[in-house]
Amino acid sequence: MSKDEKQSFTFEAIGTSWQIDLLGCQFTDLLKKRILDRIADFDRAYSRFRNDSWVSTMALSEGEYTVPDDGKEMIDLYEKLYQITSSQVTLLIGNVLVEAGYDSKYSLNGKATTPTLKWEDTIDYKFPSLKLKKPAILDFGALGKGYLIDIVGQILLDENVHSFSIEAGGDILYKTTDNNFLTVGLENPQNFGQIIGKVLLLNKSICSSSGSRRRWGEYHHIMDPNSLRSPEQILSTWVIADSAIVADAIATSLFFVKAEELKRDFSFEYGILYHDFSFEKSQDFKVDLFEN
Amino acid sequence: MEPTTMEEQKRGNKTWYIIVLIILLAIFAFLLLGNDKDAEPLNRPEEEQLVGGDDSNAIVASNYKNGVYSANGEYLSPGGAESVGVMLTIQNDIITDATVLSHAERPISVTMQADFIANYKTFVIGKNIDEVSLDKVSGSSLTPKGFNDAVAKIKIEARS
Repeated sequence: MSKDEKQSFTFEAIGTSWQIDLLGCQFTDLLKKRILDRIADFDRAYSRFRNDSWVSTMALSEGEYTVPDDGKEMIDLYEKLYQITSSQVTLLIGNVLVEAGYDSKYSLNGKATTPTLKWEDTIDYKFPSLKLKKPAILDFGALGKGYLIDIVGQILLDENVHSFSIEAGGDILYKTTDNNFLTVGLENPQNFGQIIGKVLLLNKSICSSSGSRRRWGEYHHIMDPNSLRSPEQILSTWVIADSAIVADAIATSLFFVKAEELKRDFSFEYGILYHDFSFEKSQDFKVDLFEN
Repeated sequence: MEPTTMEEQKRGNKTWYIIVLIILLAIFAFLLLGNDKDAEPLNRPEEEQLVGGDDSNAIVASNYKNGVYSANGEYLSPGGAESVGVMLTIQNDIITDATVLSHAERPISVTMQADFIANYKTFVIGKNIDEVSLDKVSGSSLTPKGFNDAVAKIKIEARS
């Protein structure tokens, strides 16, 4: 197989569509199984959409729980983001989403009225121990997918696969040993058949957050824990970073805080599409925008 | 600040094109007419005359003294007459620096001028995916069938 040949593996997992492209080498059945098994393990621990998950047991009762090994990086990051965003990005948004209707049965019919639980009143975290002072639905949606993309990327690197792209529902990780850029279009949130610009990706991840798809009633899946409503000033955010967990986390955080506040702790480039279709970006977010 | 509608934004932009045009015309006229006497720079540097190099036939003479020039442009806003100032630095007949200064009197004009000066906004449009060459698209996650089915079901119930 030549370097230019691409082999794709597509499947559904964690509630969205995945495509893994290998460049210049082949998938084995064993590699595919390893990837699917790893994703299934992740889902079994962190999905609030299945009642056999670790997360679902914590929704039923207060107590002291043991965090799985792969949970440390995520909960550490959530703890940091909670501070930096003045509690606007929070693990405790799960209860709000469920009350609004985005529950495990997709009721999509509800109203968020109960004030969001505060971390300091609810969680006592010192890895591997997580104490819950009240039952709580922890939602890993702000960065869980990005983290899982990084995990799958590491599996490929461990198997000596060095040129690949992993795409899960619009979030992408692209690694290569040569200088071939990946051209990535920025989806128009108001027309999925269009893009509003293009970026070039090389050994980076790009993640996007948008309220454009998961919408119901007055809500979409990004919720402001203070106002108990979904932000509408920003249509979409895109973040480029070295890892997908950071790109995913920052893409969500930009709905709540300005980039300057995140730049102190994280290295990233970003673009934001506002409701009036104006586009704001960092200096090094190299994008070919389709200007009006 | 209340977000402006697309219409207001477009009207605002048109006003800006007009302002810039007026200013540029003012500067152009200013510089054309005031070759020696009128085009005195603000900081009175020495006069320089550039003469073309060894090989070229052309003799390049400097028309404008190096220095900083200012011009005022006036425009009519819905609230009344406003003015915007422009300062240009010219060196060897090249504009090396340009600064736009706000003189706006009325509150709305001040905001619009400040916006223009501080951060001119880029507005984008969509282009069809099949008309551009791409490897991937980055956007929000495709929803699972369950979610879409639930939305469809609720819409049907809402109608009945």
